[in-house]
Order: sequence, then C-alpha cells, then structure tokens
Amino acid sequence: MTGRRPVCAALAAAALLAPVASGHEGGEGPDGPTPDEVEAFVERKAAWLEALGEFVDGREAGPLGAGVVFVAPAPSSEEWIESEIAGLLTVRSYGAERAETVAAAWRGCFVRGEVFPGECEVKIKTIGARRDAGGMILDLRIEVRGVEELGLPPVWQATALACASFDVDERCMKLELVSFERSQLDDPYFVERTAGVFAEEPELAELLGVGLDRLATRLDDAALSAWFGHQGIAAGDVNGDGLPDLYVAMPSGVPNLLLVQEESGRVRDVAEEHGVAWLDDTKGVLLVDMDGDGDDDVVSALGPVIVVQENAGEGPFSVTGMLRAPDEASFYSIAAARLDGDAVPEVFGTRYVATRYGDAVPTPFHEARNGPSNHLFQWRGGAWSDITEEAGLSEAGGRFSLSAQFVDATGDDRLDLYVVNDFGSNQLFERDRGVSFRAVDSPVCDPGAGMGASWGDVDGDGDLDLHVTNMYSSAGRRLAFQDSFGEGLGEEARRRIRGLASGNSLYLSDGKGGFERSEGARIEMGRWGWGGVMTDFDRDGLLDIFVPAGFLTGPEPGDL
Amino acid sequence: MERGVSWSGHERNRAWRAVGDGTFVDVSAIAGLDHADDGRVALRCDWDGDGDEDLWLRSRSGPALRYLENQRGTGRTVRVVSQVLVTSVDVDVQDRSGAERRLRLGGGSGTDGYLASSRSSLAAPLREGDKVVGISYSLGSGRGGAMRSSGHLGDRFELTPDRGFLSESRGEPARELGLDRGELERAPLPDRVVLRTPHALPTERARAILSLPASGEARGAARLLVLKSDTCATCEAQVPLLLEQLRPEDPVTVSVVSLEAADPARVGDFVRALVESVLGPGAELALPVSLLLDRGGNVQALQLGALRRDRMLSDVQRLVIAPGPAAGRNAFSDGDGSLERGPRWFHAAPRSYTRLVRLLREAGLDADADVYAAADR
Repeated sequence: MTGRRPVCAALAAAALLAPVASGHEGGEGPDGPTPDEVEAFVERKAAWLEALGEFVDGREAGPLGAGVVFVAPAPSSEEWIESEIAGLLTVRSYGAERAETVAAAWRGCFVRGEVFPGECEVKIKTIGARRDAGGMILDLRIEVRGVEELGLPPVWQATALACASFDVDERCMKLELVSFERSQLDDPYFVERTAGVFAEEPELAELLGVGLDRLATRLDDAALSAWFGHQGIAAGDVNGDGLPDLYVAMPSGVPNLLLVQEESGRVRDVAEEHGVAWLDDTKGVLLVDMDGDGDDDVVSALGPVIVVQENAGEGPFSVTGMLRAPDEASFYSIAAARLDGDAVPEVFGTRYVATRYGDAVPTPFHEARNGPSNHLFQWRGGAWSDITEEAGLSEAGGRFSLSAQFVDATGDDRLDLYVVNDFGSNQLFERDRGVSFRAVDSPVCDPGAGMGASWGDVDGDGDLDLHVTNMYSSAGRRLAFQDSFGEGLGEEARRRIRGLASGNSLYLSDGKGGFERSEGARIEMGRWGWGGVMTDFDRDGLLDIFVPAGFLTGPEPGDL
Repeated sequence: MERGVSWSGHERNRAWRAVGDGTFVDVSAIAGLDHADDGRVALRCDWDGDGDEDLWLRSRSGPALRYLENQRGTGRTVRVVSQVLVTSVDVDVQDRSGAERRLRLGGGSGTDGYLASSRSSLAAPLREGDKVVGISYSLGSGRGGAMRSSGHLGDRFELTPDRGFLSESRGEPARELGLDRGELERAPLPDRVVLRTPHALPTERARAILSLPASGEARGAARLLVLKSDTCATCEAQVPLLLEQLRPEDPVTVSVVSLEAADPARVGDFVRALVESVLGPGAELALPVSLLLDRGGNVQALQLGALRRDRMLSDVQRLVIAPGPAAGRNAFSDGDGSLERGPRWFHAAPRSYTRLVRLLREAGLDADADVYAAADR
C-alpha cells in the first residue's frame, strides 16, 4: 500500500481540507477512466459498498469477507484532536489511527471503543474515482448518525473519508481510512416547537403539514410553483408590539400568510385582514419600512411584479407601488436598501428563468448569459422607476440569479451589491456614490452553482465575512474530474464546470474590500444546499453555519 | 421525476459548529438540524426573546414550515432591533483583560441566505466576560450615530428613525413561552381545488352530461356535477346525504352522474382528463369527483372525495355569486390594464388546453379535443 498512500493523502488534503476545485484532479492522464467507465464501475461495486455500510453500522459483525482487506492509515505525527467545548465533544483525525487492529480501527473510528446504544444510519457516497496500477480507486465519504429516539436527535455522529482500492480482477477491495471526525452532544442546540406555535391555528397547521410537494398535486398551477418550493419568508414587526412576526410566501393557489405573534409565542394569521393574502405565486418577501414612517411595510414578489403595500395599522394595506419587470420572468429574491438617502429604499430583484423553472437551458452552462435580467427600482418623483441601466447594473443579470444582498463589502461605509448566480459566477458591484455601481473583480465572485449567501463576522475581526451556499455533487466530483470529461470544451470551461460541483465557500474579509477564500474550514459538503445562514448555535461567541439542503425528493425509491 | 423518483432527494440539512481555529465541525444531526426534507429557506430570528437566535425553516417536502427553538439559554448575544435599514452597525466590546475589539453586526438589506429576510435581526455573539462599551450605526455617507461608555451599555438596543440614536433597552426579560414540542403532523391532501382560471366545458359535452336546456342555463346560480360510482363507499354514503341536506332555497342545482349508468358519452373519461389536465401528472383522483359550475358552464372548483354542503355553499357564494375582491383587497389597475387583478388573482392567467387536448385524444374523445384545440388557437 505504500505506493497508494500518496493518492489517499492527496484525497485528505484535497477533498477534506480543501475544496476539490482548488486543485484535486481525479483523472490521471490519458489512461484515466471515462465518466461512463466510472459510473459502470461504481454500479458494479454498489453491493460491496452496501456491505461496508452494514459493517460500519454493526449489522455485519466481522470483516466483510475474504475479498476485503482493511488497511490502516500510515503512522503519522498527527494525533487525535480532542476537544470539549460547551458540551460538544469532538474527536478528529486527519491521517492518524492508533487502534491495534485494522478492523477495530475502522469500527473504532465510529464508536471509539464504545458500543453505540442504538441503531445508526450509514450513508456512503463515492466522491472520486481514478485508475491505479490497472485497478480502480474510489474515494468514499462515509457518514454515520444515530437514529432519533423518542423524537430526540441523535447524540452522536461521525464522518470518515476513505479510499477503496480494487485490483484488476476486482475481487479484492482494500479499504484505507484517510480521515475521520466524530462528535457527541447530549442535548441538541435546537428543539422543534412548530406544533406549539400553531396550536391555535389548526387549519394552518394542516395546510403547512401537507408539504408543498404534495400540495402541488392539488393546485391549478401549470408552472408547478409549489412543486419546486421556492417561496420565501420574512420576519418583522407588523403590529408594532415588539414581537417578531412572519410573512410567509405561498405558491400559486394558496394565500400568503401574515403570522402575527401573540405574547404566548403562538401565531394568528392576519393576511386576509391586511390584504396580503395574495393567491399568486409569491417568492421573495420583505417586511421593511418603505416610507420612513417607522413601521414595517409589506413587499411581495408576485411573478414578474414586486408589489409594495403600506402598513396602515388596521385594515387592508394599500398598494403603493408595482415594480414591474420588462417581461414575464418571475422575480425570486428581492432586497431593499436606502441608497440615495431618502426615506424610501431602493429595491433590487433577481430573476432566475425566462420561461418556467426547468425549461430554460443555461448557455454556456458554466457562465450563462441567457437568463432573465435583474432590476433595480428607485422611488423618484412620486413613482417607481427602473434604474438598472443608469445605476450601472446592466451586467447584473443573465446568469440565473437566485439571491442578492446589499452589504458594505468594501468597508467604505457605502452599501455594495452582491448577486448570487446559479449558472454563472457571483457578482460584486461596488457602489461609488448615490446609486452608481461598478462591477469589481473579487475573490467573492464565486464560480460555484450559487444558491444563497450569508454575511457575518465569522472570525471576529470587526468586518463581514461571506458564506456562499453552492451545490456539492458527489457525481459531479467523480465524473467532471476525469481527464476525458468534456473533451472539446476547453480547459477553462472544464475547470468552471468542475467548480459547479465544488460545494460551499467561506471568504474572510480584511475589512477593506479584500477577501481570501478559507481553504481549511471544511464546510464544503453541503449537498444541494440553498440558503445557508450564519448564527451562533451554542452562544459561545462564534458564528456557526446552517445550510438547508436537498432538491427534489420523490415518493418512489431511486435518485437521478 | 414525473414517475416519482428523486433528484438529489432525501438529503439532510447541514450544520457546522465553529471550533475557533478557523475550522468547523459537522454537527448536523446532533444539533437537531438535519431534517431530511428538501430544505430551502432558513431565517434567523429571536422568536422567543431570550437573546439567542432561533431558526425558521421552509422546506419543499415534509412540513412546509418548522420553528426550531435555540435552547442554549446561557451565553450572551448583543442585539440591535432596528426600525430602519442601516448601512452597518458596529459594537465595541471589552474583554476581561480590558482589550477592545469591534464586532460588525451587519446591516444592508437584511436579506440573508436564500429568500429569507429579517431586517431587524442584527446580532453578534459575545464571549463570557465581554462588556459592550460602544455601539454605532451608519446610514451611509458619514451619517449615523454612536454611544460610548466606560461601563457596560447593555446587550440589547433599539434603533429608531425619529430619535435618530441608539436607545438602550437593558434587561428585557425572556418570555417563558412553554410551547409544545413537535413538528406539524403530516396532513392529508386537500380535497378541494379552486381553479385559477375558470375551465370551460364544451357546450355539447355540458348538455350531454348535465341535460342542460338549450339555453345552457341552470336553475339557481350554480350547478354541482357529481360523478359517482355504485361501488364507491364514500359515494354511497356522501351523495345521498348531500342531496338530503340541500334546501329549496340553496342557489345550486346538483346533478349526479353514475359512472355505471353513463352512456357511451363516456363522461368518466372526460372528467378524468379534465381533472388531470388541471392538477398535472400524478394527480390522485378520489370519488366522488364534483365540479362546481357557474352559470356559463365554466368549472370554478373541483372537489375530490367527501362532500360538505356548508363548504359547497360557501364556494358558490365566493366563486359564483359574488366573485369580487377576495381577501379584503381592493381591486386596482395599474393603468394599462395588463395587470388588472381578477376576482381572485393578481395576474391574468390564460388557460392552456394543450395537455387536455392530448389527454382527450388519448381517451379517444376527439370531438371534445377539437373544441379545446380550437380554444387554444
């Protein structure tokens, strides 16, 4: 195994400690496998990996059979890293293993000498593949978690990276552990209390308990707005009682909800009373002061129109503005900020697809320009005007944009604009003065398949750092990194396509407009993530990260 | 996917806890955050007012909404509730050793993650022993305000537009909400569908299945076409009950068509194609299927399964007799009429019959398909 160790070491360095896109190349010259060969091989070995999962979760007691050899990692100067902070016990290792027997080492990685007191769930993903000495090596990501008991989250979870090496005749699989991480927490940081919040609104509880995917089969909605589930949520205080309220966007055919919080923490829906129970598909929503009177007004992206409604206290909120896109493509995210100094914020809306979701093909795939335009609106002379072009934001579109934020990214006391694009690099527009922007080249122009972004002072140095939620694709990582992938596309296009599978990014700010990508944070593997946010889970003074994930779960087994 | 398989489905949400050395540890499961729903939107918000940030989670599958309460009651957070959109808010913090550092709480649009917005949630975690000795905000271009003290200013602040400065709001007690634990239960599918655009029935078909007089007018304001089967238990229980409950003054005529008794006009095939064309592929049908028709023979709502007189009458009133502004909204137009809101919707939505035409042709109902093909043209 000596000869293979550097390969696995490369996996440790590239796939765990750094994003694949930054340098890990899975294909090994012209003899590397084709994507079709990789997929055929992975399919042939599915039963082996399933057996490995059964060994890890304890259903299979012994070694997996004569054809499987466990290989301990090389001795290393690195030792286990153990820490206990605020009740979270963490054990990590990046290349070391001290267990005496190899099989025990493997199981020990997950239970550390203890018998896990319940069933656990094992998920093994193949995240890389290459040929070696005529055989094949698969890079595996093994995730283990206990199952919920009595409705409580598990207290234990672990992740390992491993190499599975197969000889030429594929009758022997050698498993080499590369790294692992195991964490234990007796009490979860979060506990779900949704049932309590809706205790006095049983009809709402029933509506929200259906699930948008199922609800879609009961809606007269050719655009399948519910089926894709892109409806937003905003927090604010619409009745001025000091308690946060929620405005919940709903798909076509279901009225939006305006949930006012009672002193008890429960909610009451006042959407109809205030005239915001729109039946049209609603995506981005805001509760912000749009007229400078100190209360939260309501802003809703209804298809290609952003509707502004003034908070009148009681009764219907009157419509004070309709900010219209030039065509029928729907707005997704919307953002408001006071750019010109008056009391009425400017509003920026991103748009994703020109027709309906799933119909448009981004071209070119890795840096599309054929998506719909995004738009900036300003209240001017008693009416809303589209000032996208004069504000220098004509380039802020065409890339299938999902999110945007106004934020002082350059540290000059002026709000800049950050746009997150699915099929194109993200964009940073620096504001010169007033509402004049210019695109800047910055490390934060992330090339991944961007879904969302969150800003926070993650390193506590007084400026805002950036977490970008991108798509992580195991299949993309094992296929797009083969040398034979995308022959004819050109190296730049291939590099960019690889970036689309790379996962989340964290950028640290220097407070002056400079950003550096954090290569060792280990937050890449967010699966098909959406709107990751930074928040402090355990009140230890450090910002943590939460990323919703998953695209389309169907009722039948199997995944594309 | 139309067959129900997943595309990156069953993926659990992810959570990483900061270690403090620039790295993060995966705590997705043990934090109570790794639901297997198709997650979309995460919103930070101190819902229970205890100083930490709770999470609202919107998902595509599973419950559409989850409230995840942060139950780490210890520790501190400095928080500013701002009534205005600010460029930035900074906090000067002094640690036990007397060393100062500046934290940026945020600012800007308040939009976060994907499709989430919480403009008032400006917060940053504090370490044990930290004192807030200064706080400032900027509205951009040098405008803003600040407070400074040699002592502890507090952990919670309000920023209001009229006063134009930060006001301390010290010691706001946390509320003991005592909300029940648990998620929203998986609820059965709704059995009623209000159509976005009324769905016309071809005149000949309407006459055939409703025995309408030549004028096409029904008695009363509306007509309910109930399609039932003699072998359907729900039909046998519900339909007679509905007929029995109807009163002479009810503004609706109920027509019951039995599938077994239906003639070669093949009413069942027609109605099935119509319903599937509205609800899309994979729609689950349940008998009886009822169509609420207005005076012109347009379908306004579908009912799949059990019938209720009170709800039917409510729909007749809301959708047929007085289809005026719903939800207390005033009808309006933006001038050129292109965005004029209809009786229930903001945007006009012309119905496409393409799918229905295909379904009718597949069922051999070519004559009806031709009617809708002509309508689409």
